Amino acid sequence: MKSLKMVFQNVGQWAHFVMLCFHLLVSHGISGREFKKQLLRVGIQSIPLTCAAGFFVGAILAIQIDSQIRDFGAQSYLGGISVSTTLRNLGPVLIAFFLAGRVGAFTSAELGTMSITDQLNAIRCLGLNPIREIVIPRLLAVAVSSIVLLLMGLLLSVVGGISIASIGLKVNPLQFIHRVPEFLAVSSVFLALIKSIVFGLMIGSVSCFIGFHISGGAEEVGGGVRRTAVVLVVGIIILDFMISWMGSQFVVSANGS
Amino acid sequence: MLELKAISKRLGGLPILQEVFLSVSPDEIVFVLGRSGVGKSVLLKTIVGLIPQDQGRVFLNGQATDCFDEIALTNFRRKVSLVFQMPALLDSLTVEENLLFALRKPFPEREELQKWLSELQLDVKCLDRMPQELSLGVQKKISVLRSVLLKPQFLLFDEPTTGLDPVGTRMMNDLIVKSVRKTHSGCLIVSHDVQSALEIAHKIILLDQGRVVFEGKPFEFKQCQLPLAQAFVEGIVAQ
Ligand SMILES: Nc1ncnc2c1ncn2[C@@H]1O[C@H](COP(=O)(O)OP(=O)(O)OP(=O)(O)O)[C@@H](O)[C@H]1O
Ligand SMILES: [Mg+2]
Repeated sequence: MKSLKMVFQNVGQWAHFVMLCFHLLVSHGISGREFKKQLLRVGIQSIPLTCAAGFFVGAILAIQIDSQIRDFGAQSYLGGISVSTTLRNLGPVLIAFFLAGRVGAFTSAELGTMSITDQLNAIRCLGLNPIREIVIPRLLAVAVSSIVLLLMGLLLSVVGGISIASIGLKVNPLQFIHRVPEFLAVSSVFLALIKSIVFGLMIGSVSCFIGFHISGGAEEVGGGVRRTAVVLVVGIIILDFMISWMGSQFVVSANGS
Repeated sequence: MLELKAISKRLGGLPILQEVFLSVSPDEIVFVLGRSGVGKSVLLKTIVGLIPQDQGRVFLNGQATDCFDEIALTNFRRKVSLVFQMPALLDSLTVEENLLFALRKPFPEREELQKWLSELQLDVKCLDRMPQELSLGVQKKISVLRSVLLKPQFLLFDEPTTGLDPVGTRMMNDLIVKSVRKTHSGCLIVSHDVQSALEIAHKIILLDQGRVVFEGKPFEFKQCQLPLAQAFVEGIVAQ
């Protein structure tokens, strides 16, 4: 009961923090130089690994699905089923997990260290607001790069599916692609886009929120990073469920009317 | 004028500061001496509002700070700037970016910057380096310079000379004296460096168990009969 109350309290504080950031962003703008720098640091540098992760996610799903449908002689549907499954469900979640570990943990560790070494206090003592100077550029950079990286990863997952299908499973790439439109509704692509945006915003805001509020010593930084990872993984699953559910309701009602 | 009236603070159930009164005027250098753990850093953090005091008030030019909102507090911190015990430079920025961070101008008089650097015997090349690549002493000088460049009305220093070699200590003291003279700012330094206090302070305050137990001029401090004051003075004689 007590821990449930804590969860709600923390969610409330997180929402307040996000509102504060948004308010400061609207009223004071963003330090463009810092934003670009962070974009480079967390975004550009994560491209290769994210693409690799996306590629393998697509490949793994293609192999899994192939093993299940091959016996029914339905291999010609492989492209359609595997691409739509990847985009609708597992792709965004798995890539978001990867980004939570790479970008989210990094950001919260960095902010936590800045907090315990008085760097954030030093900014306050120079008459500046650390949220405006440090947090907002990071939050936005992490969110924007997560969104872009997720989309990139998803694109590469399709490439991964095609590659493994043609090389490993002996499915003609053209045939693979040919069947995709039959299975891949516009709503699936839309869902993948929505998930990418929501997960990206979540990774940015949660890692900054937790990192910014770390105080104490090295142990607390470690604890904060762990908390970030756990909260992000759990949050991503819950949000994925909610979006998927709302998406399916939407499709049902759209078909019904 | 920066004034503290009856500041009290408890931390972790223990009284750290008990009814501390002190004041700093423009052009004045005030040293607060005290043993490690007496609450010197807490005192400075209370002044700039990083730690809220339990009782008492801080006044800047007659205006109490406890009724400040976030914006007023930010402006207050531009006028009363604290230099931390650890250098606290932003480690994702170069030294130059750190120095110019709060100034909000891309390249303010680079000549002025170079003049300050040469006064601190720092190489201009260090501007392009990252703070982690520099020794602690150099980082400390940079962090002091970062606040001095803002030209605040009052500068608060947390142990500016701790960790510096004797030459560095002298340079730091010179820098403090010069910046006070140049900008007519007031200066509050907490430290256990008695030698520096006797050399550059206009007023010395001794803290013991959270209370001010002595306040006076350096020569009066030398003659003070309190055992703690004598221990501090004897400490440098022994050295
Ligand atoms: N957040 C805190 N919670 C509980 N106690 C604290 C906290 N911060 C400081 N203290 C206690 O307050 C006392 C004063 O600490 P402070 O850092 O001000 O000492 P100091 O005089 O600056 O010492 P030093 O010369 O070693 O820097 C210490 O005993 C410390 O244990
Ligand atoms: Mg201290």
